[in-house]
Amino acid sequence: MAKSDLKIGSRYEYGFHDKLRPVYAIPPGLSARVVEEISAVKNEPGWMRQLRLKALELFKTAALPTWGADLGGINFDGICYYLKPSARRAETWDDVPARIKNTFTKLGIPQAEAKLLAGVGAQYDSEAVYHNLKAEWQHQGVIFLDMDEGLRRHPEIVKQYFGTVVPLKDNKFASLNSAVWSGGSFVYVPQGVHVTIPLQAYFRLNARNMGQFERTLIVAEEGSFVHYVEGCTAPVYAVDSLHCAVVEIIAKPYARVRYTTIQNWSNNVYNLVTKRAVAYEGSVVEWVDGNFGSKVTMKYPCVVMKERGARADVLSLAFAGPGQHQDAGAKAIHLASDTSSNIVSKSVSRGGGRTSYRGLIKVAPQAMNIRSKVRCDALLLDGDSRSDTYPTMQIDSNDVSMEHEATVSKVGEEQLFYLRSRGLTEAEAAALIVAGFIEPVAKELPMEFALELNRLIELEMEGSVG
Amino acid sequence: MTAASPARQFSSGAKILIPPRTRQEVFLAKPTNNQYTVEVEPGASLLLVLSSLPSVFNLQASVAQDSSLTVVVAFKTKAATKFFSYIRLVGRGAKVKEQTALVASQGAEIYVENVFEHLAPQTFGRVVSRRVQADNSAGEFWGLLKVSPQATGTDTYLSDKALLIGDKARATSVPKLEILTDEVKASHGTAVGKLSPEELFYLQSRGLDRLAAEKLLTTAFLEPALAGLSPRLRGLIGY
Repeated sequence: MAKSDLKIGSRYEYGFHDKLRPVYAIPPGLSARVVEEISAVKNEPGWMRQLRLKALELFKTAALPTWGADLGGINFDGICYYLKPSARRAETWDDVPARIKNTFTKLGIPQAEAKLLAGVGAQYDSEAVYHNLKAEWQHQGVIFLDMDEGLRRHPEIVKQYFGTVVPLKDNKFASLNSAVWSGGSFVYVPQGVHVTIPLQAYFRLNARNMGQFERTLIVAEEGSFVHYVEGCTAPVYAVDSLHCAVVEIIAKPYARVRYTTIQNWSNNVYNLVTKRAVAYEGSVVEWVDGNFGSKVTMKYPCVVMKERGARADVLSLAFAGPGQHQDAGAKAIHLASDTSSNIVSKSVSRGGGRTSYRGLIKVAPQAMNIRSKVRCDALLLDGDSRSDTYPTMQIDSNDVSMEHEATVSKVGEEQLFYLRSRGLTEAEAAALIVAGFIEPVAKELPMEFALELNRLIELEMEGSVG
Repeated sequence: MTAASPARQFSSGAKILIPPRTRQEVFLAKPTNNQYTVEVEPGASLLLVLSSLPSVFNLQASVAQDSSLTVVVAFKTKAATKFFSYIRLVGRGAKVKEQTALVASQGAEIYVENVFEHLAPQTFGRVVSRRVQADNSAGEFWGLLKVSPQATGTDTYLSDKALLIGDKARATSVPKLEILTDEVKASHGTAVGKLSPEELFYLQSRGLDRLAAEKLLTTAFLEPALAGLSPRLRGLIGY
């Protein structure tokens, strides 16, 4: 690991970390004993413990992917698989310990609350310490809890869906997550309920050598609607850390689920996430996925359209700076007739960074009247950077209209010249052009997130020109 | 999915060498060898036309400064065919066009692999692939446009379209880009679809029967991959 890479992170806005003393920490390393201990500490039902142990075995036998980014730098034995930050669960904001509150203040959580956002589920280390769900939704039967709490209070729902979208043996990192998961969100929306304000969770890694393995499960019953928003920021550490999450979404007939992520990991994090949704008849699943920071990101949000008329929409954004590799994309699996997918990917590379689009469109033989459109745009800000496109289109039905387009370009000299002639510095001009380039994604974000996105771009663009 | 193979070194096989500042047209109705090495020397130009392929065919070419290579592969087949082409643009201003017009029918499985490696500044590349998949044929196209850091000012584009006519026809497309410089215009487009019902209806309303209408639209679909060919060559390859 080149230590020099880490200097780049010194400008990182959220690159502070609190002196946090975990109340309960299991020593680094992974074994059946560690997994059992995690399960015991959480007082989990036996079936979950069995599931974790089974996943651990699958993790041990699975090989690292032979494609994609370089994952050679991960030391699985050096990672701490569980850490509980605070013994007591906070019920209201006042109960949250001052030191943790302080971190949230820096991240702007109370402001979000003030703006009447939905229940703020904030994850500090492995476990949510603060959860608040608006009373009216509780009344409607909407469940928004962290995953541990969800398992405790609604084991029957969790048992019914857990691991059905992303099976334990799906890939090495999904197995790992299934074995040691902790935290994440559990969302259940009953039939016909529209959750009008986005449910929002802030995630934050905050322990040296700490891997974060959150597990999110969203179940949207027939005709319901929910928008789940997550933003991640992580402080800078000198030891590589691993973020390995699994997100499962079940969209029942005519439900609509939108999942928005803006992730901004510090430059030493391996961000390896499995996100997948199953869409039933007439349902709509939308992934909005923004990837900043990290050392390596591998993330391909997927929608499996199982029944007639389902729709998938994926907006993916990746920004790679020095020493970073963003390997992101999307997958749409058309198993039923009259299904459609639309994928837009925007990537920006600068300072030797590398972005890759990796995607899959698959149409099953019996699926008729399929529409699919994929558009990938890449922007290269200098000659040291790199952009790749690796799409696969596998069409086994003849009643299909599938289009894929990709372009790679650099910031236009004319555009730069024009903006500079209007009095902008070169850096400001470049930042403005990049903001315009990613606008199709930015406009789909809730306002605070769009603002945060713009701040991140400005930050990432610092010193990128000239 | 078959992975791209790096530069293939042929121990045997036919060799086509185009000396500097010469212009040639080579038409191969039935290639006798299944591997060809082509070298286009500075300032030279070659049009290579193939109207049938053995079950496996390898083409490796290197294109020098200010030279140009156009490869047109046009054939109809009922048998499994694999076509690998690996073209290196090694000299400044090298220009390469590769056009494939294929019609696969019955149970034919077609695999086309196409790599352009841009290694010098101001190079130009175009891949135009048009595939008609009839009956229960299957076709896979695997393309890579690779632009190395020194290949500034490169303009490269890949287009792959598959027309699925048969009820059980299948198509896979894997177009890739690897871009290591920012002074570049690089893009690709792929599409998989069937004949447009509106266009068929229109032609039938003008008095064509269904089969003639399908034939006409298929011909039009293949046309971009045959662009630039003289009427004489079109006659030779039977389009």
